[in-house]
Amino acid sequence: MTSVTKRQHSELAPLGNMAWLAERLFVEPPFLLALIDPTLHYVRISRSFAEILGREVTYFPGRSLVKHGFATRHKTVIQKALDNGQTQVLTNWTITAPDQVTKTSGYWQWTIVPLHGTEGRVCGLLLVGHDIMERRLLESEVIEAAARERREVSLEFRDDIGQVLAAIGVKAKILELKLEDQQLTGAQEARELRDLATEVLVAHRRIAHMLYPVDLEAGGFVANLRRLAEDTKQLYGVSCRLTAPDREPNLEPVQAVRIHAIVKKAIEYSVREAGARDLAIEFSVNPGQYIVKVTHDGKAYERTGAIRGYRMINFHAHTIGGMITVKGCKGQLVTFTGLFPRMLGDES
Amino acid sequence: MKKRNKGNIADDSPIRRILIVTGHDALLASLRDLVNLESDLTVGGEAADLTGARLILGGDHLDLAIVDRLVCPSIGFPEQMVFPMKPKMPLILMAMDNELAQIRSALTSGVRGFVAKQDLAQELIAAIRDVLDGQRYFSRELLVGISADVRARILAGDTSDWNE
Repeated sequence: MTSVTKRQHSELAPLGNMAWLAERLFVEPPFLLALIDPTLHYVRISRSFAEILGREVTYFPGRSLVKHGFATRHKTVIQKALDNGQTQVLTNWTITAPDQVTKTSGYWQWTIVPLHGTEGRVCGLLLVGHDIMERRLLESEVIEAAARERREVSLEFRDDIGQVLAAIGVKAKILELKLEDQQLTGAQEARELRDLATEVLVAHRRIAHMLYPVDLEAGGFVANLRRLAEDTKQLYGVSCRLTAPDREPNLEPVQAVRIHAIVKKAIEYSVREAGARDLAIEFSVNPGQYIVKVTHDGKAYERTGAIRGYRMINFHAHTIGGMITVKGCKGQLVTFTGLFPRMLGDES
Repeated sequence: MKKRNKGNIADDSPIRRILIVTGHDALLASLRDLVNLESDLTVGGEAADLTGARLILGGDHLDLAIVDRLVCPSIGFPEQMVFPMKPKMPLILMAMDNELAQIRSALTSGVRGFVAKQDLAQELIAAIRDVLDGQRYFSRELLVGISADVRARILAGDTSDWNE
């Protein structure tokens, strides 16, 4: 018994050595780690983080975290931990590497822990990043299941109740004509009944479409985007180009419908609110993700909250595990970018 | 049932036979009654789906078909005639959706009239007469907000410039 305890002690001895511990943490962590100084420059980062950013670990010490893994908008949250000495959380972080134009489909959550010196002042930050992709996918699955249910309800609602309402409208018309022909009273009431049936049918169609735009499932995703671009030109009298692969991607129907809705909303905002005259829609397929961009030459937005329909755009994106960013300053083109994980493999 | 004659139809004008295609019984019955009210129109065939409609068209002479969009979900995707064996058959599509893309799909499938379901009561008979006269008919509501140029192209059945 004594010998076992001794052996355990001897095996555990390195744990008392903080330098050794720190070394192990930074070399083989099951998560991402970064040590930041009070000026928001890296002191050290873990190998796992360096690999994701596509550099050697030795590249980072002394470099600013902005543009080396983090964007300016992340800096605000990180600075807050430094200023008030309280742990902050940065959700839905995706990788922004110096030479990477696109981002990976991974999602991470960073916990930003302030490190206090002997005098109690914050002397640095420890950033710990956890992969939350799986959690997001689970969320997406739940939301997608709800969307499927909505689709079924919408189909039932549209195809069945819509037919009955149309039939009521026609019957009311027949009654109106018969009463008119026989010069009987009541033709006016029949007309009103017909108008009411029409009103209900219009409202019904709108609700069914809001529940789930079933019509978008027919024809293929790229073909529908092409039609949308064409309709945009025709309806608004603006220039609208689509760049997309010739081959139809193998999208989940729910995903295809949501991405289409996002593009449509972005177009509506661009033309109606931002006064765009020239639009470009881009759809591309990367390993692991779909990328959709809508670029326009209209007014730059002041903040995303001011973009009409932005909450709806974000909602659509979230339901399929995607993410939306909007970029564009005064005098520059404005781009809505959507990144969506590929839920199905391609048949190729 | 007594037939209506609105006064502008000659008594000796031929009675035009209409085929109605919808899978919904109540809608079918309403449309049958509406068409049969007119002195120069009669329902000459009824089918619940396209297969049934094609069988009827193979045997009987019919002047025009009114087809529910729901019985032909693949219409226009790709360009596919509703009745390939009778491509010149005058055809009116009734649909719940009234987007421009739907109209274009309908045109590429040989449709000459497009009536939104909420406008059936008000506009179907006018649409039948226009299409039988060789014109095109699209629900008024469908054409609201569409530029004059596109409207003219829709009414001319021109789909050639719509695709890049």
